[in-house]
Amino acid sequence: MPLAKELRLHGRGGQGTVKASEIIVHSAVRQGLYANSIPYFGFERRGAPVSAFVRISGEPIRPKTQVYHPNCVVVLDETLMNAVDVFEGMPGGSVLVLNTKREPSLLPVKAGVTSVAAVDATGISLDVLGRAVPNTVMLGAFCRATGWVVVSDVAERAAQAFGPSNAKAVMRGYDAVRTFSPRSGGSAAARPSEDGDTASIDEWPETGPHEAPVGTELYVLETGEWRSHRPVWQAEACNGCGVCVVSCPVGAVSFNAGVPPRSRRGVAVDLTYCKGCGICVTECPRDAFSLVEEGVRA
Amino acid sequence: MTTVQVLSGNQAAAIGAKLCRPDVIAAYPITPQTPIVEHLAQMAADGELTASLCEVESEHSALSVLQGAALTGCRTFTATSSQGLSLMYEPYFRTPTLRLPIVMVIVNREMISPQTVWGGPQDSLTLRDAGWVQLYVEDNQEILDTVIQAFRIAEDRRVLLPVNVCYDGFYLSHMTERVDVPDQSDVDDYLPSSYEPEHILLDPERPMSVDPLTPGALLTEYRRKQVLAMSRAAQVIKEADASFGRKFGRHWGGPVSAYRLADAEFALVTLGSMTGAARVAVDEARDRGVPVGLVKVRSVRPWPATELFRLLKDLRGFGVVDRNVSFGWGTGIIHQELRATLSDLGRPVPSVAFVGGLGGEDLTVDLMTKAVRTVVEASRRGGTATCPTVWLSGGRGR
Repeated sequence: MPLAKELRLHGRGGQGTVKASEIIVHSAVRQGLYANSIPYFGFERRGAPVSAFVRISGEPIRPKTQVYHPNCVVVLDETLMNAVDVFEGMPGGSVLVLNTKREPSLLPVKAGVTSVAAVDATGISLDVLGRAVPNTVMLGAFCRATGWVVVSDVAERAAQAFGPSNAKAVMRGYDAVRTFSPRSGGSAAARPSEDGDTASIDEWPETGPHEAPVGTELYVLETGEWRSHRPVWQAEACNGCGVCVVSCPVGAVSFNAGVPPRSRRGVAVDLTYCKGCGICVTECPRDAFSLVEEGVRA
Repeated sequence: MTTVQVLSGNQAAAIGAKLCRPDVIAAYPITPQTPIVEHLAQMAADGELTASLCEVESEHSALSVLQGAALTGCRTFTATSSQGLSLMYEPYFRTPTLRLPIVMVIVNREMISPQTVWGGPQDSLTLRDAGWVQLYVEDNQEILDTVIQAFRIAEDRRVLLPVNVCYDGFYLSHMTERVDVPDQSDVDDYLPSSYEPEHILLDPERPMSVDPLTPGALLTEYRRKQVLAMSRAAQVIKEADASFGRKFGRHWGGPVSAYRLADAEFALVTLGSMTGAARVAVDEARDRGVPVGLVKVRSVRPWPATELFRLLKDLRGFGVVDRNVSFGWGTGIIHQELRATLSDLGRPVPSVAFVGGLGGEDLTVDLMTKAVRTVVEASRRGGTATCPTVWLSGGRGR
């Protein structure tokens, strides 16, 4: 029994990814369809990668599982593509909806994607809402790119959920979509093996009596992958007071090695762990830090 | 009449509780149960809730507050998960002994360690022998409907035991889907208008001694009556579901529900949210000519031994997918209980114990398909409970 439509959304904590998935479900149910949405978050923190899985069908939907072969993928934050394989499992004929300023024809997409819909959702949300919360703009783009749910329903629901300006954000996203059909599209991505790593307990490697089967190596989380904006430090404004060093919640700001405190040439940010929270920007008494939007790795 | 709404599992639980007009609710937030407390607090703030909402400093206090409230004749509701349930351990045991019909949702979350917040019924299944009725459900509609049924079961004079409604964290608690919400008037018709205790009551006009130091012979009498109440609960669960079906047009099968089992030679046995993926795997196997069916256990306590014996005894083999571990047996808890259920048969029915989906790992359609295939192959080889446990993990695909 093939399910009618499967969708995966990628975003970051705080961007409204899960809420967007729920609005799609509301709109589908309003059209008399069945739909469900299951979120997946690891760390429930602003900036951490979040996924949501949506199914839409004319019949009741039985599997309460994640989506592995999405007909459409919506990416609310382009920088996630540095850390997450957003194309994973996309079958032939699928649609990518991406928040980007770039031209869709210049985007590196993988096989299977036959249509790319690009929209500068961050820019539009800053313009319409005054905040970089791209979810409702992306909902408009999703409606335009797929036609799976009715955009006016989505706009109405977004207004109920987040206030009237979000209906405008949905419609701006709908209107601003730029689409491109990659020539390489249509060939299905390789399907993972049907078998999971199923093994009898006897086949598991023997471990010593006190040896834990997991966690034997230090688990290092590179929280820099959560960042959508990066702090930039300007030496001229800095007086070396060190407020940024003590304020950083992850200890990612430090005095430069070999340079004495209170020096004017003083601090460095470890971008492996900096989440881009902006506390250094807020706390610096000399406005020596500013936040700039994170770019995408080539 | 009903209204169609889009609800998360936790919203469905909170709305189900509200429709039952509880008098007192006390709950302490814990992932993944937290949104239930938030929804109830919102309802209270909006004036939609009949209950007084008691803010407590811990889960131990939440259940203890409800015990006091139920002792005065209040209808009561709470909810928790994993570590919160652990902190309730002491009042958890006392509730059924005092025969207090408290309804508690358990949003199943794996027990730590290692640290986890994701789904799995290890928390409530580990406490299956504490004397509560435990019901496990498959989707958000069943959450709402079963919370309503739970009050009727708990307050039935033949039962007077507390009831847990258990569902998987995240897969159901945070999943949104279409749910039919019944009208208040229909729920009012379905439930007794209030809980009227006669057996145990804190009433200055009718003083009685509650829970005094109890010598062994008398304690045995308490236990014997608890056991009788639990066995009567099996019938009451069936009646509550049948009556619900007549009233609302939906019923869930009582303590156990079978799917495509009538002419099946093999079966998968499931619990909770994994059941939907297993149904799809069964349908697909049927399309390939494999005579397989499905048994979903709804009531773990009371254990529906008679029904399960009848459903499984003539099969050529079955597999049990357990999202939990029974340490010492090395299988899952449900598999262990089913082996005991069939021990009176006098001949072995081949079975395979699967353990998977731990820590909220996905139990996909592909893993369920793998389970069906393993059961068929093992049955042909005459496999028994001595087969090693098959671990379902790393499932991708569907």
